[in-house]
Amino acid sequence: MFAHYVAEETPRYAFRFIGEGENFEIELHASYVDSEESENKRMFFLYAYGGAIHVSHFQLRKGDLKGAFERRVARYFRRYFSVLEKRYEERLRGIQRIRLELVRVNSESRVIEVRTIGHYDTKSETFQHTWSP
Amino acid sequence: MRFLVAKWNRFWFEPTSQYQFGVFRILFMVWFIAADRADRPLSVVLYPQSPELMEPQFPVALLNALGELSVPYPIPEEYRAMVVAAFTLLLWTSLVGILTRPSLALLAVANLYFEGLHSSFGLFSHATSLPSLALLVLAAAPGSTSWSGDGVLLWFWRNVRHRGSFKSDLFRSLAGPAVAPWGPRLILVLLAIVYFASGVSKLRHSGLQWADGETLNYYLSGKSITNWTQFVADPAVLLSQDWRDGVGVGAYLYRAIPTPPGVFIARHRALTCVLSILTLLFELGFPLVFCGRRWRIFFLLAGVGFHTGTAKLMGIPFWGYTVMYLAVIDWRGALEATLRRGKSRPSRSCSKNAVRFLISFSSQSLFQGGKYNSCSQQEN
Repeated sequence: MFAHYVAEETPRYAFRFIGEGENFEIELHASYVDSEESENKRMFFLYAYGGAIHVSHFQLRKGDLKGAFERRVARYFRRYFSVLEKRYEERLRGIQRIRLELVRVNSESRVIEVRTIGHYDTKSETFQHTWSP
Repeated sequence: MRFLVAKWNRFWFEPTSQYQFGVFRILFMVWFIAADRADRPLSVVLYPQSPELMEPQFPVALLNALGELSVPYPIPEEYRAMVVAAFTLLLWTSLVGILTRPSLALLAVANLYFEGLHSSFGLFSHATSLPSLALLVLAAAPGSTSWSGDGVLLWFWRNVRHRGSFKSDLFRSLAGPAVAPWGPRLILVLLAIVYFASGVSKLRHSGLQWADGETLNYYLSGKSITNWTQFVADPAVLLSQDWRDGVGVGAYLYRAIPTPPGVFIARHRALTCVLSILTLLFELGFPLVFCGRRWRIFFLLAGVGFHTGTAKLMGIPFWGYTVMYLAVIDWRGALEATLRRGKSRPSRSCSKNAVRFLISFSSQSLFQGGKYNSCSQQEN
């Protein structure tokens, strides 16, 4: 625990799930799936995203391929969306896509950069990776 | 070579009554029962957070793939009360010492199953992993059935049934004969492995830079408490992974809940730097506990300080680890010394006796650990 070096200037990132409907967008908080934020994002990272650090023990995906990455993320969001659907909350109805964002935050935890990694389509149950350098 | 083999055998198997593993069993069970329910592996398999989102990893994934052997997770509601009752019963029979060995064995296996089940979904509990392994050692090692209800019953049976009087010493009967000390020493080995691995992990991921105090400052200043889980990337990201996000997100950061003293320390970089260096020295140096009694005393006391520090400064209590230290204390020596002193000075008040016991407990156990070996062997 606490083995990774973090300093004031160390870039820090966070994942954000944004639900997209016909005319609306809503940030999907962990509480919508009866989870805690840390538990929720850790599970996403372990099961779907995977670590890319040389010596990471966080499910290192060495030689990860785009197709495999998309399948893993789709599998996670399939489960995630099925839990969301059970909530029957008005504001969660009509979500057609889930946008996966990687945000860079500063030391005050303010968002300073947003990267859209891809979209999950709730109808076709597929994830499409869209980010490019 | 023969010398080394002899030393090895002496270390693990030479009978001693120094450790009184039964006393450790009682204290360990008291901690197990008294600890918050959330600390128990059982509670997380009964009431996991959002189980629908969880994805089985090895070996549960393999067993599930075989179909017929599907592993229930979380434990179905209709069985929960029964599982809790059985687990609680095993905890109490292990504490009191009724059918001690079978109780400990069943408890250790059940506990390991719950711990392993939770870990098989990718979520590892650092705080409970070592106590779970120690419980396995306790279930298998000689000496853990001393100081038990079984022992009292056996003493009673022998005296009433066969002699008709109570001539034999209950104290000695409960303490039992000298046994091979591999149980408590194996727990010490486990502690050494865990601490050393923690130190190596810091060097592996961050290098000596970890000792500059910045990382500790981040956690003590409360910056890890945010609305979202923070991740870090590695500048030396694998080129083949660059396509995913361009930064190579590689690890999530943990959270610490700093206390006011922790925040105070975070304001002084020199203090966080010193504490970081001490942490590395403690973790990497812990295997020195096997280099003699003085090193053992030093590192066990340092360990108490380390865990008190993480609990009182960062809000991260790992008391289960310090409970493990109780396995390597000379309980018999401390108790006998206290009783001897109590007899010679009967006028002492209870509180003074308690203080004397604590003093003799630390001095006997830590400084005169091997003193009672020969005595107990003569008994046999």
